[in-house]
Amino acid sequence: MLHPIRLSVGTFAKRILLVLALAATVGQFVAAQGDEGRYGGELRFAVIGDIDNMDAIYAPSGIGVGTAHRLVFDGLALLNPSTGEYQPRLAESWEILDDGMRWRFHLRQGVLFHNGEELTSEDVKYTFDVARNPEFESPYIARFASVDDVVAVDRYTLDVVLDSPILPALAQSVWEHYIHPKSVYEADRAGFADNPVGTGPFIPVEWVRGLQMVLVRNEDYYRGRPYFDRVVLRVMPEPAARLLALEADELDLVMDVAFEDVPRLRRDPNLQLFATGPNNVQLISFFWEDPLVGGAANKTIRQALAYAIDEGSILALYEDVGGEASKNILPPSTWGYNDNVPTYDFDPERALELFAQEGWTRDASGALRNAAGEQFALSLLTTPDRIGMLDAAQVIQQSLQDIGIAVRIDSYEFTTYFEDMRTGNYQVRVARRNDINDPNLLRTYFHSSTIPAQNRGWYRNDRVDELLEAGLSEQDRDARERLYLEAQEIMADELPSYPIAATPAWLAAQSDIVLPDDMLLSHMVDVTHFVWRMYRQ
Amino acid sequence: MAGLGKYALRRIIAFVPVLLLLLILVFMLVHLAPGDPVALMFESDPRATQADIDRMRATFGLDRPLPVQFWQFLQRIVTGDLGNSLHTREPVLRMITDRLPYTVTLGVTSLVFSIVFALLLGVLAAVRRGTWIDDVCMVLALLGVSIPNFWLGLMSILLFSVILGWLPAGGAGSPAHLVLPAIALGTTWAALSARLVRSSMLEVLGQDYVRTGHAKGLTASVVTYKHALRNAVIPVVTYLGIQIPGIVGGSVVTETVFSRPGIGRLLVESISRRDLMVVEGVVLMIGVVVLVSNLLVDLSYGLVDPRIRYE
Repeated sequence: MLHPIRLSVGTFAKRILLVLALAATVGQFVAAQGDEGRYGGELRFAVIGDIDNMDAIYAPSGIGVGTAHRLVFDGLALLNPSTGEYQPRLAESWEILDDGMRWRFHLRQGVLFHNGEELTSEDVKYTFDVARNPEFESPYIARFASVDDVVAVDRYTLDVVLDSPILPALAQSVWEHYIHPKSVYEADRAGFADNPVGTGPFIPVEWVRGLQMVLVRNEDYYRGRPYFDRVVLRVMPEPAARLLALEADELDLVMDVAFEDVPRLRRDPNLQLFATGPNNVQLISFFWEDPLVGGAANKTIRQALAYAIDEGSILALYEDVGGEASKNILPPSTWGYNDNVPTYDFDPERALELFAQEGWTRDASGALRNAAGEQFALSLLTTPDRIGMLDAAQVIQQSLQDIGIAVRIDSYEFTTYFEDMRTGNYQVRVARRNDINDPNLLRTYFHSSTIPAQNRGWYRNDRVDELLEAGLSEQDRDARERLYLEAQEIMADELPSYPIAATPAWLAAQSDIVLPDDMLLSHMVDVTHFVWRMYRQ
Repeated sequence: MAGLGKYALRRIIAFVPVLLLLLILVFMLVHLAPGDPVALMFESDPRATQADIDRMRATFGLDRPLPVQFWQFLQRIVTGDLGNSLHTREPVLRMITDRLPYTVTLGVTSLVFSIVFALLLGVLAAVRRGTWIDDVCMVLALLGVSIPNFWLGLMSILLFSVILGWLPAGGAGSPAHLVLPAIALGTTWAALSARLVRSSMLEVLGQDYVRTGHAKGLTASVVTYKHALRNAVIPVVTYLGIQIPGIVGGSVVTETVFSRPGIGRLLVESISRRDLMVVEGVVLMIGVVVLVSNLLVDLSYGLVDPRIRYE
């Protein structure tokens, strides 16, 4: 059992320990800072899903192909999740004009596509125009909904004209959209999927679907010459097979290492392990329309359930892998994170008091019943296909059974889990989020207008809607932060979802691979952005 | 021979209703299973809106009533068009033909492995019946049947790739890449067939003509391998007919463990993202393979046993 104060001290100490452990592990590459990297060699890198269609306008960016896209293409700018600010990529600077109705991008000069042509504002305009043209059936069309016009002002200047003022941070999909060369795409759009041409650090030269893609260094990459001659992306969907291939020295880098494998890999002298984050927040989410646990009326029930859950036992599962308590759905590494929200540390007595207020008391056998004699029964939706989610469900089941609640775990393969979640066919579910890297995402996941596509708990609160809406157009960052802090406070009280733990993502690499020293600090989920600066000692 | 041709033709005509039934079943299964392919496509994308999802669903025609979708599906299949993948938007036929060679090479290799292994083990056990050799062979066969190919695959990677470093842990492209997956995939069938070969060999070895063979002075090996074995393999050939679809099914697991880009893995990946077009195409292809392989096995009886006639 953990107490509030012990919890925060413990968390702090754990964090320090984690940082120290990381510092010790990564000592060699921190020392390498400032050194010139070694050129040459090959990086063998496992991707989880298939690399299928390389046309980044037409095909959805899945897990495998997304990695390949990031090596081959670039957008205008890339959002840095720790600061909420954009880092320049193909655009070296930008201005917000006409009271936010016009974004003006100044493109970097001399950026070459893989075919040797120079990138100009015409290419960017063409890419955006194709993506927002309904005839082209791009999956990204709705994200250009607020874009009224795209104007190539001169060879290196581009204006994006909006129909309403939107903060750039909220239009990530536009700012990061991969730019295709107009001449190549226009000439043979169907062929582009097989022979993509981008401005990225690596150029695909050999590609066997489902097996691997071989890329060579782009000598003219505008951010500098990548160290590795070649990158081999090997498609390996099975986690155990990925790790065995790493141990057999057939791979150099593996992402998303399962927690149970971390201690074993740590003992292997040929490997090094890294943690980024913690930005995976594990939580339970209540279905807002459920008569027993959902809606504003059942706030006390949700709070009672939160008190009844033994977070300490869940955290114990993550003791060796840098897991820490989480009091907020935003990871602590995000700007706008509210550290002063109410918490519900394990307190079964308090839970029973709250249940009693709502008319639920324990009978002689210990079961929690209402006046009509019905037992408090819950179904808990989870999936074995995401790291840690089934384990957490089992601990939650145990905690709730201890105070007399009947809990049934519905554990399904991810697709069925996702469908039940999307259609609201559940009471309570275990979830894991690793993509909330900007407080604006609270709007994505909790605003009533995004039910059911993104607001999968169907949460509704007028004040929260108002605050998140205001965050869309508030230009002053401090004022914007205050809006998000208040929204988090309301949600911590109402508990549409209850965060349990935050865990880092682990990656493993051969010990002679040197990773850029700013990679770990960046909280970037995908290390692909750093591949061009990795090298072998 | 005319009988054989007529028989084959009749069987091929009978394929049509079977395939139609298969199509209906596959269509119902993939469309009624929980999971929306378009919503899944945007699952990990926080920027996707309901408008994105609805628009894509309309683009793929998934907003139309099921009977209409089924009719369009049949029209496409009849014209030989398997459609485009919802997820990658590539032609399904190309995805299948890209992947098929990997599954075929793995299937053939594991089939050869399992036949050779089964004959060696089964004949040895039958000829040395009741000795310790028989016991060892049958314990090996029992182990082979009992070990799941998923576990066997991972353990063989651990031993031969990680510890000994002799063979690649996964991938495709060279004969070395085939060894471990072929063994992992073929072991169960090898072990089952070995038991079958043993019992059918024992039965044949007790026949009169075997005794006659011995009596007229033929060597033991000629009797065993020329006369007895030929008659003992008929049940094994029948078994082969069941084994071919089994190998396609087994490739689902084996190709995932060994990171091989075959049909089995394509099917698993497509099911998990509910890529309806690809699932339909692959299942249809597997159905055709099973029907054709069963037909070939039936036709091959005549080659193995000239007494069998087709009417």
